[in-house]
Amino acid sequence: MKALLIKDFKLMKQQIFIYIIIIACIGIVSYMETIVHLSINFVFMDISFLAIIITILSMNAINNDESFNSCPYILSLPINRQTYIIEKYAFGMILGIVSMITIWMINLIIGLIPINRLHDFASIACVLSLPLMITIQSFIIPIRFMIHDRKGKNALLFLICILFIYCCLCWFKIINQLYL
Amino acid sequence: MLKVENIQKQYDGFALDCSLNIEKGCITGLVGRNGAGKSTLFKAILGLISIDNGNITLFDKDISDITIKDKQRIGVVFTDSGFNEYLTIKDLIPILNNLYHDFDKEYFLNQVNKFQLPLKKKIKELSNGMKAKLKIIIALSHHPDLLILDEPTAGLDIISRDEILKMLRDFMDENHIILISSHISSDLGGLCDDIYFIDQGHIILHEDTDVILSHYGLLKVTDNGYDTLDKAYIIKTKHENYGYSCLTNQKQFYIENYPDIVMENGNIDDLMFMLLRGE
Repeated sequence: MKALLIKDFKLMKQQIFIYIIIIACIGIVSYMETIVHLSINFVFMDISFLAIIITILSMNAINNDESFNSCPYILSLPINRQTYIIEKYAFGMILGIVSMITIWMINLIIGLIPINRLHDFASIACVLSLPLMITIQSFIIPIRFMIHDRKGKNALLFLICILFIYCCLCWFKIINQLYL
Repeated sequence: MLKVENIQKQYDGFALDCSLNIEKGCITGLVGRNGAGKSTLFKAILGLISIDNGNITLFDKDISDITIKDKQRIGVVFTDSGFNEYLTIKDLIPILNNLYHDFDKEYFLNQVNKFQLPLKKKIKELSNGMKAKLKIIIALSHHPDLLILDEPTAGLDIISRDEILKMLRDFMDENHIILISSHISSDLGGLCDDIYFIDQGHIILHEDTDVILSHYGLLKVTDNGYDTLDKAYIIKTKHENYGYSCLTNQKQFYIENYPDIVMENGNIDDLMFMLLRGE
């Protein structure tokens, strides 16, 4: 599995610039929203957006293997299908955890918030984003493995957008009930 | 070491049904036209597709019992499948190091330098010849016991093909096996110990390469000559403008008994052509 993770991260290196920009933007915007007290809802919307982005990047790892018809070759290597699938989940989780920590660090550095202020909404949201990522990836990745044609992939992206909107609406409802 | 017994695989419009047997120390060629079932057979051997019937035995184990450790002993080259081409050759080193216990980094780098493959260039920026050589180097870099090559020299010039064939000859010894498919019969004729001819999913002929080159021949006779010809050793016949061309596996018989007959020495191309087109 380590070899597959190295492969996927080396391929992701091609898009590292875009990834850093996305994470930095989410981090800065979520911090600005807490400072301005624009709406706590938007912080959670940003974190939901992060979970969706990470899921899309995990799916991209599968796309990378399907491009250049790499799948038959990869499965002929000394790995089994189970390891291959688990590696895709692991890749997504590692990306998610790194992103979550990065956003939290951005909040700390920009706002110079003392580290013991754990009630900061952005920090809480970062932690809550992890189960959200796990939940979304747990059913998106298996669906992605089943879909091979372009129409199916487009349909899956549409489903992800619907999920994102649904997550945001859920957060709005939860936060409004807790704080309003 | 590798035994395929009556495996069957059904697709729409195609059915694979064949057997083959490869012993240690042998290089076996698989020849057939496009869509004959070569790649399907390789995928079945590697466990990439399920089979409907039959047995495949590899390293004295059933294919379903093959472990990750056994897969470490196999090197594979597919003509149309490999690592993602956005990786560089340098990127492959840690990947292969973590995939194979016996990955020989020094050998890998020596071979890459020998063939002047640029380490920091993406695979997609390499020429076809360089990509083919890289695939072979990757397959050989962990010192496998079995090498499965699906048209490794497809689309290459004669110099590149010769370099790749030399790598395979250098790899070969009494403990190794190579199973190679190719459309380029001259490659197989100079490399393989025996050859399987496959058509429409069935093995139509299996013969030692030496026998093909020494015993098989193509007779070219007129219509009158064909009528008087002893057809006991004629395998296939094809009607031509000048008369008939006849495939025989006993050319010495015809050389001795028909000294004036026009005879071409057997080669793999002619053999395959006559097997597929002859009657």
